[in-house]
Amino acid sequence: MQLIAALEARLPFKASWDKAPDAGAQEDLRLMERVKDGDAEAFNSLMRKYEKTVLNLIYRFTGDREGAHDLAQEVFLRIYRAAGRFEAKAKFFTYLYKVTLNLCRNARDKARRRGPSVSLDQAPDEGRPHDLPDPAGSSVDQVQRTELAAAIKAAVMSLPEEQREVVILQRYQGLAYEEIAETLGLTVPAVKSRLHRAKLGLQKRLAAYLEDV
Amino acid sequence: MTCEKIVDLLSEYSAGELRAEQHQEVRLHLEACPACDRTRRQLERTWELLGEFDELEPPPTFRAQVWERIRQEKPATSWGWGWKWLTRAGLATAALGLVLVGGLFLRPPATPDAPAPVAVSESADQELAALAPQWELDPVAELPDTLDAPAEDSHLEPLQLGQLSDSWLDEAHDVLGDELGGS
Repeated sequence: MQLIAALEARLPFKASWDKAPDAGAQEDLRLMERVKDGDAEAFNSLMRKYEKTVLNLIYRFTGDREGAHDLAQEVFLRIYRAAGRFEAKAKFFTYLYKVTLNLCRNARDKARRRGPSVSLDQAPDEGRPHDLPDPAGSSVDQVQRTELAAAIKAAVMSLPEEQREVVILQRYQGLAYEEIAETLGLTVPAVKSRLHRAKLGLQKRLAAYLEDV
Repeated sequence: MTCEKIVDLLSEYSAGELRAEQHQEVRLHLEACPACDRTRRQLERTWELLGEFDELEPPPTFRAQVWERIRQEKPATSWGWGWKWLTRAGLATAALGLVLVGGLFLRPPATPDAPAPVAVSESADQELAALAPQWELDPVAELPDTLDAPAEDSHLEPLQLGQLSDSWLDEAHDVLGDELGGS
């Protein structure tokens, strides 16, 4: 323990030593092995566990509420399709996130080739918060809350994709730096750097909502 | 330490990830520098505010829709190019497409050790599973690179995720145009 403490003292950051694989990750791998053997109920279990995660990962990356549903289905379709060749070399959710982000990037590339189009799902330019006159006091909070949500969404969507990815994986998926690094093929310092730049960018974008901080 | 350097460390500071010495140094600076301390508070508040990003709920029919798409997919051909390509292009233009794209991907029609078909269990309580057809798994397409690296003696090139995705079909459409018919 003294050796570890001495080593940690020399590192420029706090070390996060490898932990034993958690029970959830092990269960995922067992389920995928069963899917590989043709167990559809095992695949149902994986979908139940991750459908919301995948859906929101896509939604927060693309900002497209409607398209997120189709793309989420596509994620599981492709995982099922590739199940026969599955080998447990990494955590299942790392694999799942990789497939998901890759499909998001493909969808983005396809949309770019088709040219610009008006998206009904685009969040309005949040600009600065403004109070709307309303006779019912309680709904003012609701309106401001809705505006804030739109502003947050617009701020996240304004981030460069490489920063948006790390924000989504850490803030919304709760992944550790090492897990994010593994998912995106980065080093941990690179993940931290992107996260920090993302936070600074978000801070600037949301300055109107931080004036009283 | 300069304010610029302090700001660079604020994310790690707030997360408690700095070594004790550095943490102390940053803390002392923040106590003496209102501007940096305000930046720290704003960064922390920004991170909290991200929780306001709305969240979607998957519809109750989500899994059923996935199974329906699986059921509608036709089995991959022995060539391993994928049913989707053949149903779109038709056999006549598929031959033309093979000539055009074969040079791009240099992929042989099939590997000798293609995986066996996946048998889908059809027990009584697996309604949804009963819809899934038996099918020959497509050894091509979007296999995750880290989970299935080719064997050392494989003549297959490692696939990147999404390498054989819809994007190359679109490119083929661009090349072959109307000959391919509908999208």
